[in-house]
Amino acid sequence: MSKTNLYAFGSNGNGQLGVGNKDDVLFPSPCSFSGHTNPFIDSPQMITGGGNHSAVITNKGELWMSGLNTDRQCGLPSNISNLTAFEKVVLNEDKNTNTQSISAIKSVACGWTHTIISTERGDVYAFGKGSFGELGCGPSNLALNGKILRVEGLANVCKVACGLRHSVALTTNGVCFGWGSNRYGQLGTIINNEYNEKLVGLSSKSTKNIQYFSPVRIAIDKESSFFIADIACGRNHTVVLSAAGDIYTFGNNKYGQLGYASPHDITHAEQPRKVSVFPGRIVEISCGWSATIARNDDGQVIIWGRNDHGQLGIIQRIESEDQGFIIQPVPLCYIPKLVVFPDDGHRHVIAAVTCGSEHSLAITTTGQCLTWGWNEHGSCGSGNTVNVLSPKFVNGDGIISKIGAGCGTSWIWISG
Amino acid sequence: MISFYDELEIEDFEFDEETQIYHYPCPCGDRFEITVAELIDGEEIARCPSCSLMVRVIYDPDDFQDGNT
Repeated sequence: MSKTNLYAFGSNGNGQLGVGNKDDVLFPSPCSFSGHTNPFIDSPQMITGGGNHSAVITNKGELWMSGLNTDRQCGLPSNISNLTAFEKVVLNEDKNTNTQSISAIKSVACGWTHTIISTERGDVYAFGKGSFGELGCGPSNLALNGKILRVEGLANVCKVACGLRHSVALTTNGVCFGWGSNRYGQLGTIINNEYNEKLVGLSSKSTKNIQYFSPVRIAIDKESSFFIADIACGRNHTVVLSAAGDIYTFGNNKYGQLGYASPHDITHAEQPRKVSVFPGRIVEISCGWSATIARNDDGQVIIWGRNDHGQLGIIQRIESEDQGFIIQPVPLCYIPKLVVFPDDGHRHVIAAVTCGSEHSLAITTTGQCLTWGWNEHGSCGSGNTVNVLSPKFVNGDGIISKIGAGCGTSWIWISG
Repeated sequence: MISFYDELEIEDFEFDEETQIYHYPCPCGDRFEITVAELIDGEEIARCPSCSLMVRVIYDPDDFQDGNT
């Protein structure tokens, strides 16, 4: 019997951590795999979480999911309301007459109640529920009721990402497409939008509630000349990384998450704009609900957006009348800042970063994990529920080589 | 002073006909909730049952009077 290498901590009200129960977990605890002790030969390709469900892609391209399934967001039959351990999901495309087996999963993204996957072949599929068009399967398919439907009009997709109510796909040709809510311009400047624009809302006042029920191409500039290398989605904003290492952002800027203007000056923007002044070349991006993180080729981490719970790991010392000097998080940073890691005599080179809803994780090239941010449910793995205002090491043995996060949830893969 | 996680327009919320509850995602995985009855009473705080976070709901009270929901 082999040992489980995947550990989880954080919010777990619906079993989304996959640790075998529904209790919040304050420090790294081993995940359970239904019917297997350990389905992995090696490090998983991807670990990620959504609202109340989570997904792991093994190095063999298998999809394993845990958590809430009431909207069949785990791709399982409706008699299963939730899972507390990871279950292998066997996906069959629901076509009217025949079903086609979907294998070799390459990328997965979990939204609030929906899941988007892309395969090695480059096809994209959706399941779960998406009232805002985030399934991308047409206006009549707000809830797929267990069906796995192909998102039409896309080919050669290599990565998918989900915000709270929008989804984005990136092709091997460096082009990206989006669908779902565009209330804050999170789908950017849209090309060819006439055929699937829908105006919906509770009343006639809410005409800005624009939604797209099928993929629309996202243009970064007028000529669409950019080769996009990576994508990431926050709650209501989207970030793309060009092959040249430039970052462009669009969508909501309520907390400065676009990284180039104060929320007082720009509340949201549909026109993608370049975020400037980074040291080094950016090689990785990730988004929290209202924050953006980037890693450069020198192992440094740059971050901006919301920080009221320490999401950016940036603190200030202020003098208080009755307590002397106290440490407080800066409420937000709308200009990119370098993350400062604990000073223990040598510089920490960061190998990977990822954001959960309101917290962040990083791993060093030496296999140590750092966390910071909102910690009310233990998503920083510190053993308590006190917010972590600047990066702190997670206690544990072994070399950590992969990280993942969702809504108040964190996963680490311990490779040795 | 109450510190709100966010201030959201009622249009941002989803409405559950069966339970008569407006709800919006909480970053912990649960949902901020406010009932139609609370909105009729003029309540403007939607709470998450699973954590300390709460949001202020921006809405026109007139929309919730005389059964006009």
